[in-house]
Amino acid sequence: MDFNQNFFELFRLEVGFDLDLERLREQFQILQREVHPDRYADQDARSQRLATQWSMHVNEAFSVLSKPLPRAIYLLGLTNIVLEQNPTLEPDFLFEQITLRESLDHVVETRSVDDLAVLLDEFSEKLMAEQSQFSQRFDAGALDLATQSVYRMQFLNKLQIAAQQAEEMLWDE
Amino acid sequence: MALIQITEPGQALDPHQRKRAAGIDLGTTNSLIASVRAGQPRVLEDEYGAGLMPSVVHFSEDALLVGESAQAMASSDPLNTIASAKRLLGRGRSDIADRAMVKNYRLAEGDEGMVRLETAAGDISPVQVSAEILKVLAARGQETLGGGLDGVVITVPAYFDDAQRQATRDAAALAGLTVLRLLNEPTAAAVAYGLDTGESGNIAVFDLGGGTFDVSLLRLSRGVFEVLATGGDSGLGGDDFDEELAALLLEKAGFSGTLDPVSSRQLLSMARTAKEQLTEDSEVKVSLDLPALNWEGAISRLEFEACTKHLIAKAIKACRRVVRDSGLQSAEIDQVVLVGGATRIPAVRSEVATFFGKTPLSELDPDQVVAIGAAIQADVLIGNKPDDEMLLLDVLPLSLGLETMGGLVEKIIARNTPIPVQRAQEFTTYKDGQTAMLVHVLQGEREQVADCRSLGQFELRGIPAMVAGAAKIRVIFQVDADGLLSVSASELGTGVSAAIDVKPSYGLAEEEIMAMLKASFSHAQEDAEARMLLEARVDAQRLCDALSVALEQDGSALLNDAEMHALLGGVSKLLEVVEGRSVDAITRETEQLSQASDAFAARRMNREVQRALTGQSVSQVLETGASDETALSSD
Repeated sequence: MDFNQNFFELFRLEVGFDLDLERLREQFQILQREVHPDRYADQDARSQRLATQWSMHVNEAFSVLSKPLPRAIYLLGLTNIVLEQNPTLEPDFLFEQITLRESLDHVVETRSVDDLAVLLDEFSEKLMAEQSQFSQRFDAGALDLATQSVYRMQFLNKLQIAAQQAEEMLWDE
Repeated sequence: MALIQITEPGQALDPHQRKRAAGIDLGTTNSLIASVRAGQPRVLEDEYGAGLMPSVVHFSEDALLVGESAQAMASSDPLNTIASAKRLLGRGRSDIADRAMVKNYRLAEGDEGMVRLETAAGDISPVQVSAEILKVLAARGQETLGGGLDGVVITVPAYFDDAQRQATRDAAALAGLTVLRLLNEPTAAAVAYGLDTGESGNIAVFDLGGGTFDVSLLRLSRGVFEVLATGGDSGLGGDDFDEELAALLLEKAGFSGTLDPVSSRQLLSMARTAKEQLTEDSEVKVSLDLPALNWEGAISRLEFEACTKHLIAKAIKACRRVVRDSGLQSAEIDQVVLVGGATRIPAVRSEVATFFGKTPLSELDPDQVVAIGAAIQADVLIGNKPDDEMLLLDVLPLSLGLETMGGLVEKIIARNTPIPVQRAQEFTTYKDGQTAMLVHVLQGEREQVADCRSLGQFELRGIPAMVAGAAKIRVIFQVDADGLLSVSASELGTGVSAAIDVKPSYGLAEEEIMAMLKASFSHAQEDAEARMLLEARVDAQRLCDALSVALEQDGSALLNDAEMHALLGGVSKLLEVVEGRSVDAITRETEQLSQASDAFAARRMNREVQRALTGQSVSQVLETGASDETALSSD
């Protein structure tokens, strides 16, 4: 295996956001079949260490490509775009974020699991819409706009995680 | 050794030499050992035909009892009879302060480090208790299989954290066992269900044992068992149902005082019997005849269900989280498997069926299924089945992170990340002129340091004095295929570095293990030296053999003349050194040759991977010739 290959090359997939996830998983399993340390369990420590390194590399590549946000960030990285820590976003989007946050806080206060489920659906729809936005922009070579999409995805992703944590909290009660 | 041996179908490396491998389920209540014999995995039985061995050890001044005979002492000598030690493995005092079971024993003094129990044979750690159980099982394996075990797979709850896994490893080391892999119990169960026979689909494994609860979602395809998510509670199990029922009995009997240890142990054992009867019957008669209390009455299944409802709810909550973490919808789960004795409880079964919307499978004995799966995996890992396609891909059960300013935890690796895994993160100094940094490693899901489990800490010293924020400290977390963590840190500008294998504060120190090993084996000095020489020679010989074969097969295709010459020279030199008696020289030469052959091994590995990806079988590649090899080589 070549550690210098990019993750798409590693899995023999075309570079792009819209991936055949089934195929990614198949390729992942084929690679792990060759490199997983279990395949070298009856051999010496050094072979196992080597296999472990390879296996880690394959796992890392799979983790990045199998999830939309890390995959998008990785794609931008391939075009040498480095994300900013504190990006400037359009005011409209930020207002919307604040509103969504407030609805989340409100639902958490009312302790309604059902309302929270509705909100979670809304968040994931927004996230999916942003993802397809990213995909179109990236494919069209509009990298600045694609980068904006990633920033939005980061916001929405955080919101989604907060909502999921809130849901777990409600389950606890 | 750097060489990657590539085994091809039908080409066993060592066809006549079957190795002795076994799977061990080191359970809270019972333990078992199983092995694949004549192609069939079987639980190995003791001379009385018993497969299950109670995980109980009785310590006295002059004798040590393990299993059934120790269990028999539980009522008469409760304080020296240690049961359910697994619940204390890798645990500190503070972790178990409010645990019901601890009231049954005397905790040894000393508030730091791992829990120890006072017995007539001195202070005993849960690791030692587990080691005694392992030794007896290993002896059973040795007897049945006709020789010492070459390697074992030991199962652990998937939800065990790093400290608990380390403690299990320590117990195995103490028992003198070679551990091929720590295998997660639900994964073992999935393997045992024979779902490796080309079937594919998503399977949920619900494993409620004596003292631990796990739930895992796996995706199976063509022999690959990929764990998608795992969760649970390493402090929830059948024992808790016993405790609740015992409390209910006391309540019904109108007893409000504190029971003495003997009565308490007897009550628990009666509660357990009643619980088991309630699996069949809707009501059982109980007569308590304890030194402290006499009572007769009845308990109904409904009463039992009412007082244990919250325990089942806890388990179902974990299921909900795991389903979400897996990214699957409930409807996409094709099968549900029940594991662990406590899944015999009717209410547990019906709640699981309701949650997943499926009738769970339970054809295999829920007590045996984990050991059976471990035996199958051990057989594959030891190399008895070189062309077997089975592969288990597991995940990290609990997030790993570091303490940052303000007592917060920064997550480095999230739970349910596939292992083995390596992640790095950069940190910086927060004060001008700061020259040292404390790296505090934590495991858990919460944000506050206080709410997570501390796995250990170390200091990175010698950072050059700079303004705050100028130093760049890179911390690397590595988790191996057993789920065990090691951490290293370095300052990027100067290369100052520090590393630890995370030996949790609740484990045994390396010296302690060594001391215990010496005491238990009483190996004479020369024995040890002879063994080291033998091991060094075996390792060297193995490298030479494998490298020679590889050079013959692929040397001309993958190496230039100079490279080929150098490696051949290395082999003959090593073969010469092996004849001598210097362990150092053999080890040094072996290390040198394996380093020299690294690149060759990488090229071979790379070629195999490329072949696998393009879907060509090895024989196809051989037929079409080696024309594409140069293009495919990585370097």
